[in-house]
Order: sequence, then C-alpha cells, then structure tokens
Amino acid sequence: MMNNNSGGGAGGPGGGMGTGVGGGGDGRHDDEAALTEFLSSLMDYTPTIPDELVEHYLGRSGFHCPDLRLTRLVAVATQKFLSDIASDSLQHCKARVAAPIKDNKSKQPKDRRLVLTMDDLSKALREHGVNLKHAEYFADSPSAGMAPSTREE
Amino acid sequence: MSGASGSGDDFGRAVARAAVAQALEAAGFDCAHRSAVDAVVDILLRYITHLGRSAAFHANLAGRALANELDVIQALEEVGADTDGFAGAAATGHCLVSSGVVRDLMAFVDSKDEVPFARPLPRFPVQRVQPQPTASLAVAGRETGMRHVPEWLPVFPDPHTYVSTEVWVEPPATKDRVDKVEQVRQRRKAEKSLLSLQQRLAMAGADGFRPVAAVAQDNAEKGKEIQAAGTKRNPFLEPALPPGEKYVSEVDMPPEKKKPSVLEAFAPAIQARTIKEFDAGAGLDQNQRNIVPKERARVHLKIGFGKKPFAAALNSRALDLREDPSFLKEEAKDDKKRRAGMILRASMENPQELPQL
Repeated sequence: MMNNNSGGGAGGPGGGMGTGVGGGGDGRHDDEAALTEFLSSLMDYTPTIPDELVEHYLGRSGFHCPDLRLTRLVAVATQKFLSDIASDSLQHCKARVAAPIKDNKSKQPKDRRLVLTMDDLSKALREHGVNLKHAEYFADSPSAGMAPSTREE
Repeated sequence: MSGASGSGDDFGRAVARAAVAQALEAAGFDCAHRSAVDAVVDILLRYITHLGRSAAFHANLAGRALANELDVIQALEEVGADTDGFAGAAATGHCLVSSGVVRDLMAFVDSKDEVPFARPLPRFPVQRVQPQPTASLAVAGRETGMRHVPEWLPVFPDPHTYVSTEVWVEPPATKDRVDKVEQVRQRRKAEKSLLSLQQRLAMAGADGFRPVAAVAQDNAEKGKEIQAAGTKRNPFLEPALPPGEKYVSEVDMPPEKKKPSVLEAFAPAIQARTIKEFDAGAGLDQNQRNIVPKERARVHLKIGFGKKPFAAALNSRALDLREDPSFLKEEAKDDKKRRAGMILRASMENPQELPQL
C-alpha cells in the first residue's frame, strides 16, 4: 500500500511532471519552429534600415556573425523601435496642431502640415526611456552675447 | 546628441538619415526639422550599437566567439526592459525562444508593410583582401629536422630566399675578347655617326635622302607642268641650272670714294645761311626807326677740356635803320664770315664733337 501509495504518489506527481514536461516540450518545440520560421521569413522581408548599415555598426560594436538572418533580426528590431518613436511623435504632433490658441485666433496657423519638431520628439522619447534636450540657443561665436567691453579680440 | 556627428563616419550617418526620413514619411509626417532627424539618427545608431555590444557580451559569456539568435533575443530583452518593456519581462524563468520580444517582432512584421530602402547600397566598410595565413608545418606535412621547432609554427619560406648561392665571378679578359669588344665599339660608333648624319639630312629638308639628279629631274618636270599650264614662261618657276651651264657675270663693287673734309661738308650749309641772312637784310623798310631787341642777346658757351671756349652772340648789336643798307650788308657779311671761321676752327680741333654743334 505504502509502496503503491508511494508509487501512486510518486506516479501522480511523476505523471503530472511528465505531462507538464511533455506539454512544455511540445510548446518549446512549437516556439522553436515558430522562431525558425520567423527567421527564415525575414529573408523575404526587406526592412527600411539597410543590411549594410546594420552590419557596419554591429561590426563596430564587436558583434561578428556571418548569418544574415541575425542582421535582419536586428534591423527589424531597430525599425520597430523607430516606428514606435515616430508613431508616438505623430500623436504628439497631431495634438499640438489640433489644440486651439485661445489668446489670439488670428495667430492660428493656417498650415496644417505635420512637422516633426524637437518638442514632439523629446516627449515621445521620454516615454521610451530616453531623455532628450535640445539647446535653448546657439552662439555663432564664443564672444556672442557678451558685453562689448568684455570681449577679447 | 550631436557630439558624435564628427566621428568621421559621415557615410553611415547619411544612409541612416535617409532611412529615418523614409520611416518618418511612412509614419505620416509631412516634413521634419533637421535637428529632430539628426537626433533620431543618433538614437538609432546608438540602439544598433547597444544591441550588438550586448549580444556579443552574452555570446562571450556563454564561451562562444560568434553570437546566435538567442544572444540577440537576450540583448533585445535587455534593451526592451530598459526602454519599452515587453510581455513576460517580469518572469524570471521563461525561455528565450518564447520571448515576448520575438512575438512583438512577429506582429510588427505581419502588420507593417515593407518600406525598403530607396537605393541599393554597397558594402561600405570596404573589405580589404586579407592575406591567407601560412599553413603550419603539421598541415603542410613538412619536417624541419630540428627538435626545438614545434609543428604548429608556419612553414619555412622557400629555400632559395635564404640559402646563400655562389657569386658569379667574371673571367679575366683575353686579348681576342678585347679585340672583339673594340671592333663592336667601332662598329657602333660608325653606325651612330651615320644615323646622326641621316637625321641631320632629314632635318635639313624633306628630300634629304634623295640623290641630286632625282631632285633636279623632279624640279624640271614641275617646271614643265607649270609652263604648260600658263601662257608665258615664269623665270621664277624654272628649275635651277646645273653649275657651268650658264655664265653669270660677277657683281662689280663700286670703288671707295675719298672721305670729304669738314670744310667741304659744311660749305653748302654755310653758303645757304649767309645768302638767307643777306636776303633778310635787304628787305628792311626805310621808314622803320631803331629796332631794339625785346630780349637780351643769348650767349651760347661751349666749355670743354683742352678746347678753346668760344662765344657766339646772336643779335649782338642793335640795327640802326638810319644807316646805309649797303653798309649793313657788308658788316653782316664780315660778321658771318668771322663766325663761320670760328666754328670751322673749333670743329677742326675737335672733330668728334661735330654733332653737338
């Protein structure tokens, strides 16, 4: 009995484990097959970012692999990242254009074109964990903005 | 952000800028600020570099020199966890094959249309042809015969590159050899002189190599053709006559004339001047009173070393019109003669200064 129980007990968990492992193994095989199929399908997909550019910068970073599928994988991941940033920036841009100016209605821009600005981009990048700040002004020379008496010429 | 723009990788950045512009246009933007595009380009290149560095790190951590897809997925998970996050990022014991990053990428590829890069690109880090490593002694199957040289070292170069060979010694020159060399030298000298003569003849004229008889015959034929064409004979177009056929008189040079003296040379000028002065004096009006010159008479002095200074006064005295004109003529004649004599004496003493008078 005890043996049976133990056996049964062992068999129960064992069966459960077996089922679990078996199910996990089948799922893992399915995932591996899906990954392999996805990598092979990348050979037919042409990303916006060219392979030569990705290979160049991957090689500069120390990543050397002759498999073109991995280069395409990195290119697709980069394109997805870029597409997410662009779509978020587009939403911010549309919100900025659609917002009415209450102070002076004559100052509302008639040009409704969607222009990517640094403000929209910085808001979108902040959501992706990138802090972007652009300079408030640009000095064309080291002495620009200084008093005439303090300039060294 | 723009600090890395001067890294010398302008071509890569230009390609990335074009790709970013295409992606922004596909996303729905009409245009973009240049600074915003540059910022996106910088972030994009940093993203690729970060992915590559992280994947290479995981491959090295696993003891592999080359990365595989699992290293890339793990790098994507790290970057995704830092930025966006992904499905299943909180789980610790999940399998990389069934990662949420891969599922997101699959969904992205299925949902988004292809926007390929505008133009085909060359492999812009130019791949230099690297020299093949030399095979080792074990691979080549050679034996060095030396115990201290291991087999894994590359093979030795070909023996002819380092084995010393005999130096060729020139045999001593014999008398026959010297004679032959001298003959060859003389022959070359004669050929060189003949060649230079031919070149000189060729430079002198286009017909330099042709014999004289042939040239004369050609000239005669040309002359006949021209005579047939024209009605009159042109002596300038006739062929040159051979020497001795026609007698040509010699040109007589005129005999040298005797050089004239100074007095003979100046005599006509002196006579003409005296006649002119007399004619002017004869035409004076009787009604005129004294004519006082408006200016003081100029005195021309000529002073030189070893020469007698002389003075010639023009209009030396005022003319008194109340006097007899015949007396005036005689006095003027004597004055002119005296002055001419002084000039002639001075010129005889200093003949080299005649042009200055």
